[in-house]
Amino acid sequence: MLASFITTETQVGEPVSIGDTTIVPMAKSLRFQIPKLQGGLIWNRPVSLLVREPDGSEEVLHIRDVTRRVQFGLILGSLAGLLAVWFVQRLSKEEDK
Amino acid sequence: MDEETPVTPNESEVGITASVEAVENTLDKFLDTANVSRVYGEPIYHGDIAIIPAAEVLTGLGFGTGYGFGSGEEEDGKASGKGGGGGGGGAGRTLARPVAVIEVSPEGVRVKEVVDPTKIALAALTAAGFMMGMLMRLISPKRALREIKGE
Repeated sequence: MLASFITTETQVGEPVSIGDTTIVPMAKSLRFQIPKLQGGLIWNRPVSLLVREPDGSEEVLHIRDVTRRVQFGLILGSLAGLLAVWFVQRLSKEEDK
Repeated sequence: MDEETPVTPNESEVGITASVEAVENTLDKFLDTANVSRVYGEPIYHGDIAIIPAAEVLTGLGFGTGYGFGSGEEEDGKASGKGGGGGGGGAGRTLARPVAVIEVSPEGVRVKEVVDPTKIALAALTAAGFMMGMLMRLISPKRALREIKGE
């Protein structure tokens, strides 16, 4: 059901040649669209690069979104901390009883 | 001596077709946001070094359209009329945030992440506020009193 609303797609862009190096950019898009409603939400972000060197070797470089990771880390950390405090408090109350 | 020109359905249809085309164009532009070229910028050259900016793009869009036709019956010798109309409205927003900068130099290709300290600070403050609020609630004297009383 949810899959019909949300679609993800990895796209490969046009190769960019800079000097002897060729870079193929890749991006991932997430599309949220409710059927029969006009409109939606698209979240598009860079994920990796395929680097082709002149000697023919290829390397994939991942693009990390540091800001997003830190944001999620902070939110998850605070939730985990709260759960831990709540759990310890509950344990201590049960011991008192 | 104003002489009203009756609006024929054909003229209305032309207007509706134009509005539908405008909506389709907007939708096409919206769907184009998912294109990989919207995420990576054009290379910027500086001497031997080329820089390609990379950003995440978030676009939201919503709109609606409506139209209708009507005609009046001939009454007391007055001429009948036909007409139609349509309308639509919508709103959308696009947000872009730099994620990384790709540096291509004779030494090789490097990805340099872009860190946004303002966003991180805001997230830290929000998380701290949320934690403080919940902790205060957990250790509040009122709550402890209620538990002692067995309420």
